[in-house]
Amino acid sequence: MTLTPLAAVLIFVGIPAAFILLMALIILAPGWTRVGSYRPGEPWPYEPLMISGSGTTDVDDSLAITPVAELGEDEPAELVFSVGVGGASARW
Amino acid sequence: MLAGEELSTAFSNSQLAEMEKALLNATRSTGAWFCAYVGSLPAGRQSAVALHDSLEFPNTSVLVAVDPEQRLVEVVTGSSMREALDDRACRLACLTMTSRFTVGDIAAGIRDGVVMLADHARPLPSLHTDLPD
Repeated sequence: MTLTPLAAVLIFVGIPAAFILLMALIILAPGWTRVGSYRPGEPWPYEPLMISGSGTTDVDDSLAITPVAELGEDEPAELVFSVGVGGASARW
Repeated sequence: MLAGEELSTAFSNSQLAEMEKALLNATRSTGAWFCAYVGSLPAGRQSAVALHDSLEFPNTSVLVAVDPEQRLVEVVTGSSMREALDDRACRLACLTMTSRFTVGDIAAGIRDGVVMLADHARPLPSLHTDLPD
């Protein structure tokens, strides 16, 4: 029994293509449907959080992270370094 | 997510639980207070240090502050922590975290960074010891 050209294309091209498409959907679909996924560099739309072993809380606006940003144009920015703190910084 | 809609929480419950567990384990194993901040750091390290100063016990606290929009991570250690957790270990932790942050996984990055900081930190000396009779 000989295959018609159409049958040959369907068997040898169509079946592998359908398999590849199915695998691609299985791998990529969770990313399309995930709610709230974040991409680096995009604006961060969420409230600031402070997380510790005892729980997670929204950060109080009175904490000292805003005074520098609220300084007027004529006022020099003050360094807010505490004496003796250590650590490190990094960017990505 | 609709266009222009702000989500109120950045992380799922399981992600928050993972981070809280890592922070709690780090606190218990080292005696230092570990916490993490995710949000805006308008003045960069100055903001992170100011946040650290606002903690209840800043001298024995370690703060991991992440600003995803500026792509900035800051580790701030209290003055009493500098011998127990040196700056070199903090830099290694930052490298570990940024490898996760690059792909957008903030929660896993914080968790891995806190675990590394706790592994490198030596426990703070305790002034109260119960000696066996």
